[in-house]
Amino acid sequence: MSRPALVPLLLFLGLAAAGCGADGSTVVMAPSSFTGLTARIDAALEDDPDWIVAGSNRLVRQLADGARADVLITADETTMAEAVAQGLVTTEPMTIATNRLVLAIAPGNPGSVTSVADLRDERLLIGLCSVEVPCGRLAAEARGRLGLQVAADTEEPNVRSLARKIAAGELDAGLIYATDAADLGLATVDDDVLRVFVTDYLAASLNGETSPVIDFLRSAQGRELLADEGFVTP
Amino acid sequence: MSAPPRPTPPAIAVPAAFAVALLALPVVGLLQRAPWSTLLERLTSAEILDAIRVSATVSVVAALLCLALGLPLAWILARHEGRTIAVLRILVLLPMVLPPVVGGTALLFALGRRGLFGEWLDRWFGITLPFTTAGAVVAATFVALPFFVTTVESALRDEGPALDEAAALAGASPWQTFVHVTLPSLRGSIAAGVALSWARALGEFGATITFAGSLGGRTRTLPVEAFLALEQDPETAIAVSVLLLAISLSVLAVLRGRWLDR
Repeated sequence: MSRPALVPLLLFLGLAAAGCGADGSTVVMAPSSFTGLTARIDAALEDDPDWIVAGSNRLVRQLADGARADVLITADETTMAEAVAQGLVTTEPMTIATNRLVLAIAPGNPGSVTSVADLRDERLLIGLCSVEVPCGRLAAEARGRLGLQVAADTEEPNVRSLARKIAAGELDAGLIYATDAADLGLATVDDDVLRVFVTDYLAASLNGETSPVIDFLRSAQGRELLADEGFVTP
Repeated sequence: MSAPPRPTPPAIAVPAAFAVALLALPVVGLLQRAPWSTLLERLTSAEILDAIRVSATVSVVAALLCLALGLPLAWILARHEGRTIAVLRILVLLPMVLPPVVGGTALLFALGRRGLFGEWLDRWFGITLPFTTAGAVVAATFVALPFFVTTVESALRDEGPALDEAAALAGASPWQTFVHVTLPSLRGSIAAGVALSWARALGEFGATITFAGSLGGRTRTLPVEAFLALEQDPETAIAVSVLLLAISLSVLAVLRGRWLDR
C-alpha cells in the first residue's frame, strides 16, 4: 500500500482512539420526532445526556432486550403502556407534551395540495407513516374517522424519514407531526379536520430516580423550548 | 480436493472455531425463537405473500441486471490496466462499504424526482424511480453488483489471457473469443456471481427503504416487512427471517451441487 493511502486509515484509528472512554452520563431514549430537540435540550442542561433516538416501539423493544437507559420518552400512550406492562419503567409516566397530525407539503407545493381530500389523488406522490409506528397509527385513526381515502405511495418506518422525503421534494405531501413540519420548515395545509388528531408524549424514569431531563422538560424553560418546536405543552 | 495430510494446528483451529461460532450462533438463536407451530399460517398471510412476490421479482431482476451489466464490466476490469481501471475498481467496491441507507440517500440525490439526473428522467421521460418496484430493483442492483463483478473479475484474472491469445491466433475476433472461449470457461464463476448477487439483493434493506420506500405489493420486500413487523409482531419478523434463510440456503445448496464445485 502506498503511504498517502495510509493517511485516512491512520486518521480513522486516531479518531477511534479519541472516541474511547465514554462517560457515565444519563441515557435518554426519545422518539424520532425529538430529533430536532436533542441539541437544544443539551444546550440548556448542565450535564447533557446521551440520546438514543428511534421509533417509540423500537425503543421499548430495545429496553425489553436489555438496552440500558435512564429515561424513556414515547410518542404515544400505547407504547408507554407497553413499557409499563413489561415492568420497564420505575416512575409514573407523565405527559410532557402533545403533538398533532398535519398535512405537510413539499417545498413549492408541486402537487398543488390544498386539503386532505387531495390525498386520494393517484397522480400525486403521497407518504404515510407505517401503521406499526405511532404517527402511522394516528394517521390510520384519522383516515378511519374522517373516511379518508389515501393513495399512499409509501409507508415509511418513522415520521422523520417521511418528513425528510417531503422536504426533499420526493413526495408531494404526507401526514406527519406538527413538530417535524416545524423543524424542517415544511409548509402545512390548514385543514381543521385534522386538529383533533393528537398524541400525548409521555416520559418516565427507568432507573428509580427522578430525572433532571424530565424535570427540565416540565419546567417553564423546558415547556417554552417544546412549544418553540411546535409541541403543545400541558 | 484431497484431505489435509496432517492435523490442523490449534493456532488455526481455535480462531476458525470462533469464526464458526460467530456465524452459527445467531442462526441457532433465530431458530430457537421461531414460532414453528404458527409458521405456515404467518407466512401465508396476504401481507407476507405480497412481500414474497415483491422480493422474488426484485431480487431475480436485480441478479439478472448484475449479470447483464456486471459481466461486461468485469471483463473490462480484468483485461485492462491503468489509472482509470484502478478508479473503476474502487467504484465497484463502494456499495460494499457504503452503509446501504447512505447508498439509498445517494440514489435519491442522483435519481430521485429532484435528483441530479432523476429530474431529467422525470421531465423528459416521465419516469419517477422512487416509490416504484423499478426503484427497488435499482437499489438492490446497486448493492448487489459488486458481488457479481468481483467474483467474475477474479476468475477472469486467474484464467489469464492465454486462452484469449490462442483464440486470437486461431483467427477468432475479440467478440467470438468472448462468446465461445471466455464465457464457457467462466460458467462456474458466473453462476457463483449470480447466486451471490441474488442473495445480497434478496436480503437488501437499507437502500431499498430509503430510495424506494415501503408499500405493500409494490416496494415492501421481505426484509422491509421483517423490519416493520419487529415493531409490533416480532414473531412474524422471525418467521420471515426463517423463510429468507431457508430460501437462500436451498438456492445456494442447489447451485453448489450443480455448478460451484471445482
